[in-house]
Amino acid sequence: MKMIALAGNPNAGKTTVFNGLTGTRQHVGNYPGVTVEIKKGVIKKTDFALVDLPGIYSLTPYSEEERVARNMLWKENPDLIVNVVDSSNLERNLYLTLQLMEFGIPVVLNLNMQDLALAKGWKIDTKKLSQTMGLPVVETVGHKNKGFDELIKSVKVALGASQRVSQTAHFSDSVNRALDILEKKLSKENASGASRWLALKLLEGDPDIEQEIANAEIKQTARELVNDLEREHNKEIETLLAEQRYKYIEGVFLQCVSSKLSFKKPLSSKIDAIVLNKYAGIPIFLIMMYLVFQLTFTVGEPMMGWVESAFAWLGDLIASFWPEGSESLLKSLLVDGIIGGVGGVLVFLPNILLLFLAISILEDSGYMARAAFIMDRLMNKIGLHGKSFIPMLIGFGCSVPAIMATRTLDNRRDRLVTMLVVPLMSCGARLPIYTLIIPAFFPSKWHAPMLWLIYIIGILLAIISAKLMRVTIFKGETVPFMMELPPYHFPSLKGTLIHMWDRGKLYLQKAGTLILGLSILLWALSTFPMLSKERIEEYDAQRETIVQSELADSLQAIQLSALDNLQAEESVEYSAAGRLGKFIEPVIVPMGFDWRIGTSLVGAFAAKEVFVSTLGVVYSVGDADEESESLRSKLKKNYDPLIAFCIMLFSLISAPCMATIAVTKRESNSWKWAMFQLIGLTLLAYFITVAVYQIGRLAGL
Amino acid sequence: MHKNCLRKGKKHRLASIEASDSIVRHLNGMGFVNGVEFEIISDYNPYIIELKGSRLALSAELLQCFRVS
Ligand SMILES: Nc1nc2c(ncn2[C@@H]2O[C@H](COP(=O)(O)OP(=O)(O)O)[C@@H](O)[C@H]2O)c(=O)[nH]1
Repeated sequence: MKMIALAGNPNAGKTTVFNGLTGTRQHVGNYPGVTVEIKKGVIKKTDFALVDLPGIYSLTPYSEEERVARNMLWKENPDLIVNVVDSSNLERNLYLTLQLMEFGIPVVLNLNMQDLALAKGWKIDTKKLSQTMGLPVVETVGHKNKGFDELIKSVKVALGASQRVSQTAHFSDSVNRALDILEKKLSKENASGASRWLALKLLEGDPDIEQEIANAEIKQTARELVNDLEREHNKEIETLLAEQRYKYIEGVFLQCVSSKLSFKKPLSSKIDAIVLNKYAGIPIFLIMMYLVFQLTFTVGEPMMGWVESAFAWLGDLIASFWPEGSESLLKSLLVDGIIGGVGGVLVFLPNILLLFLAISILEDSGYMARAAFIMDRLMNKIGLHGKSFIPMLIGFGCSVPAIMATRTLDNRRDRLVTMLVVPLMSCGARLPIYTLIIPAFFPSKWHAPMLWLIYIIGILLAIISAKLMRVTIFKGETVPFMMELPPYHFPSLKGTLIHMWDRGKLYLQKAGTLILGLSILLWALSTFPMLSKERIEEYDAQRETIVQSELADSLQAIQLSALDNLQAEESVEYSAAGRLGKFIEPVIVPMGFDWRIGTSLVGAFAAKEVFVSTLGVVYSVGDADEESESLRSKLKKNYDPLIAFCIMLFSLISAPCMATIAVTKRESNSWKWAMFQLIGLTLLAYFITVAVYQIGRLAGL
Repeated sequence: MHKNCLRKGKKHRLASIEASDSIVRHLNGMGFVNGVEFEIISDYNPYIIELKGSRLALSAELLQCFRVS
């Protein structure tokens, strides 16, 4: 099977072209570097494999993404490269084209975004461009699906004639002579056909390639040749090569592009003049964020109600297969364990999808790149990069997609720090803990400020931890901010929905797999071991006495339900979960917590949202949710506002849920960081909560 | 590049970039090559530069490595 690689600068429209050529749905975003993973597909009506590479500026990698792309080309040797170019940015984009030609694998030049070039008043003579550069050139308008058939045709023709030739004619004679010498030496050792390109990279001082070449004599020759060239031209080698490339491109551009000068200021500039204004920029940014959260919470609220009712209905439906009051274990597993557990998680789906929808609109329109730009000043102060802001924002929805979004960061250090602090952004799943506790312990005028306080504590802790990590374990310079600000686009409905779905899917997968499994495990932990047969018989006997008594029906019902609760409470205490809670009680007492909270915290580790339902179980109030008044009154009886605050604090900071740990492991590629996150955050939560509780008690709270 | 040159609306021709090899290469890839003309669109850190019709955001510390003519 022939393999074709799709390469291009960030935002040239690669993902759009990939979708157009393969016909599959893929993530499309207007945020620099959205394509980070290598995506594979098959070109429509052919058997050619198409590989979508991350956006790159050059074949000597600067960021992790560029390294992934370069290594793919270098190590997997595709048969052909389709170079997607933003035609309205031709000169800058051709710099990569030249480097691909130097690499030697045949290239088809795809002039995408033709509409934008036309709008600029440019007319590109594609025939001449093709002749001058010596490659096939095909025009497309990606988002309108125009030109893909021609592109496929051109790919077929190019594949038929494909032969690897490294093209370096755009360099001066002296550079080419140096390349000849090195190539000759290298080709004795390297049979891949890439010797000339390797020679060029050696001249450029590419550290990865230098490491790859074992022969010290060749490296010595390269150093001597570089010295000679630098002396001759009186400039550093990378500057020399870049200048020669751009000089060639300038010539090509002058020959092939005629422009009717348009003096109209592009719309993007006008928007930027307002959006990035020194004074208006931050207020506009804050309004945008306010709108994002407003959309998430106000529009989301009724939707949450629908999901809740749907699960309640499903639970009732399944329960109705058993006679009322049945003690069937299967019923309990299905209704309380699975539907209760998974339903509890899915309730937040509308919230999370709406947050992701808002973020997708911001990304696809081009505003997100500006938000990163605006936030860079602030983020820089804590040693992070402006781009770290986007994963943090997503973190208010769910940490799993947030951690995946750290892939757009250029530098591994920035990426790891961001990944590690993302769980401190209070995710949607923690909300029910606050909405249960705040009304139970604080007067109503404090409700909103209290919730804000919790969110702000999370943000502040993230800032402090990031700063601390940047001056200790992740010491080093911050990568200077350099980022292209893509032109604004009107986001397409399809693109935005696909984008939202790509992130929302991750949350659903978590609900469908991990949470499902954990719900079952948790159910088992809080069900087994069961009370002894004698104990159950004693309860049954007491029930019998009540039923036989002379009491009125309503009174009987009250007594029976109290007895049910008592039995449930004893069962939980006797179960593995209860014992676990008791086991950790000595450790959590300094935070003001008892075994019941301990048991619930064990549940919360599986998924934060499980805390409330576990608390409901240990307090035996039957079905508990965050609106449960009976649970609130029990809590009020047993704890005070200080403990309540400590519960929220601990839930906010402590170990992120299991899905987060799993995704941190995958994205950082090591258990070390996942465990560091787990243990670090839990210890941080512990020390802070103990301090708050003890100081609070001393202060007489 | 001196602070005074970083004012909004100023046009410059890049003479050289004095930074590490990898940063120079990356900036080259983004279009910053010696001899190229660029304009400062916004002079509040990070700066916005217009270069051959596209807009790039660069931090002040990077711009300080630019020599212009
Ligand atoms: N005007 C215009 N917009 C396009 C064209 N092709 C893609 N886009 C838009 O450009 C943006 C970036 O495209 P994307 O495929 O994500 O770029 P990538 O970063 O190279 O993968 C998206 O909003 C697309 O809808 C085109 O030919 N013309």
